[in-house]
Amino acid sequence: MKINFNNKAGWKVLSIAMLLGVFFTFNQCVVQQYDSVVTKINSDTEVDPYHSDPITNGETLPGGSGEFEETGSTEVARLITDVGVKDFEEIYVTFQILTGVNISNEGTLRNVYSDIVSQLPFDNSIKNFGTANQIAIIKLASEFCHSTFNKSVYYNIFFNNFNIGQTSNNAFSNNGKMMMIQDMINRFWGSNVQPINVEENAKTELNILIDDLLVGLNNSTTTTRTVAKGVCTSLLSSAPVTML
Amino acid sequence: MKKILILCLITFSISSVFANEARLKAWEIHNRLTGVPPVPGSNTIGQMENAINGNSGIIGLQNAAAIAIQSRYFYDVLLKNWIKPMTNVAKTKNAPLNDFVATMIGAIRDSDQVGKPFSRILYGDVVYVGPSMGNENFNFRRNSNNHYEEIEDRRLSLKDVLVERMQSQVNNTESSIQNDSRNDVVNLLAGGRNGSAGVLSSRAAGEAYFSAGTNRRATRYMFMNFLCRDFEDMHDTTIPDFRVRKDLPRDPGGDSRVYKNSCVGCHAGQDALGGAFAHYQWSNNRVSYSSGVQGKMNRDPLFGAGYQTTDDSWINLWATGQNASLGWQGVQQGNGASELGMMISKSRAFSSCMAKKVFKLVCIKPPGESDEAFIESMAEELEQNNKYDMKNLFIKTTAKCIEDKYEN
Repeated sequence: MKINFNNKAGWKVLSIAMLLGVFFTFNQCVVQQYDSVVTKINSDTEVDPYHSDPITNGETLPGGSGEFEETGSTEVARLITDVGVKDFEEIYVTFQILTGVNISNEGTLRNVYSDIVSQLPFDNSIKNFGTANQIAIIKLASEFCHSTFNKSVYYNIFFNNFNIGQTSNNAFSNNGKMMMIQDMINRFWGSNVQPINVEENAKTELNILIDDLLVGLNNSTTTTRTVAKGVCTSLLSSAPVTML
Repeated sequence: MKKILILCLITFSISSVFANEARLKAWEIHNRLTGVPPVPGSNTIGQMENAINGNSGIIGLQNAAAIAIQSRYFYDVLLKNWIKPMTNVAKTKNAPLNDFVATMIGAIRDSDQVGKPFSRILYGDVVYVGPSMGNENFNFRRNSNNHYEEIEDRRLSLKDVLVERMQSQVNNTESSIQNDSRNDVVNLLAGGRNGSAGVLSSRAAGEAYFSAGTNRRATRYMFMNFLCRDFEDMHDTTIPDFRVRKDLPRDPGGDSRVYKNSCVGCHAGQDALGGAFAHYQWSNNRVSYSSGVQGKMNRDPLFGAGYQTTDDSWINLWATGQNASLGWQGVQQGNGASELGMMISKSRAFSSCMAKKVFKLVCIKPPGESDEAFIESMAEELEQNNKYDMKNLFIKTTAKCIEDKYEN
């Protein structure tokens, strides 16, 4: 179809198409369903392939050790996905790498991890991921962020541009807020890694979070670090960090 | 004005979709292959991005994966937690580092070296140990796992600290693992290779599969871990049952049809192979290997005319019939766990099992029908020139997953 750029309708069609394209492009956070879903459904009519119809012509046997089959009683449970979530140790080490916290020197942090390790995701399956897992992730992230912004040895080298040593009134100008958020995004999500609109949405939300956190707090460097802990926890426990 | 608006929209949509795609792919490859993101401030992601941009398609992705796999976390996080479930009956990764895990990690690390195929983990006289720990209690011992637990507690880089040793010649308490002199080492087990058969004779495998029982667990878990098949999958009532041991009743519940139609389907094949483990026992917190047959192999003679184990010979009765589809190659009978491991490792089922396991690990989904050709090609590549290069398998599988995710 040839679009006439002198035609008003042509402009409209093109504009709408572009907007829809942008919208659908970023509508990614859904479980993808494949056409050839591998299922194993038990039913009264199902024939046992091993005992009633043994294969003798050299073909591959049905089934296997079971580890490659997506079983479940619901359609959702049988869906095959190609997104996953990090397991307990992957999350633990990821947090260490991203915050720079040396876990060997942080006994309290190690104890917290030991206490909640059973609540963190056990494997990479997104289908096993539940509310309790996310709460445990947030808890662990908050402890890492607390450690990060409680010790100068960590927070003094954390930011590339933002000055964590400023009092909150000086630190959180509009420009200062953006500087902190961008530094944290670059560190936790990778610089120029996430789609632009994802980053923009995050910046908007984190901007609001900073304003909310500042309410009722006095003007001090402690307040600056307290706010940093909040932004840090939000970003560290977010999907771009914990998902595969 | 309208043209400017359209141009802005075009620019925005294209840039928001594609501007970071190479970096996003690099980020995902690193996370999939190591379980963690690149270290902030390092140039790893930049190198990976350049690799992806430098070569279009799968080659660029493979080059990026080859960079990511150099991270210590490929070994410390991804491989460690992938292998741990193979080392215990519960199949859980909630287990400490042990010699089974360390040996597999070391073998994967070295699998790109000439003469060190990964498949030797099933037959080689090999064990990977860590360094001297500065405390005798934490040095390598045959009757303790402290050495490996300490390595894990101290978060030592498995990529860097693991060294290869001959399993038959590592002393009981080695205080200077880094000392390469083997002249004074005493063989603790009876002569020859002393039953060394890679991870099959490792301490962790012994604790899990040789303790009590009848040693049948060793065969079953070897099949599950390295052929991706449980005995139910091998069930074949058409093969002869002359190697089924005495402890198996021929008329369970008073009905011999149950034996002929059910029990024999697994036991005829597995008992014929299980003789390979006749000399192994788990005692005093270590694997012991005797020159004679362990008593557990012939106990509870519920059927006197059943097979009496007199040596560690084995025969693969599953090589014919429906289970010929596992692609057995080479000699199908022999003596001891090492020769059995060799036979297992040469089968196509072993290669494709490794390819499937790696696929599931890095793609986070089981291979589907559309992936069968890829799995087969990876299995063939593993076997090429007897190289069994597992790092190559991880690199190519990860690249394929990422390509599929973004291209399809």
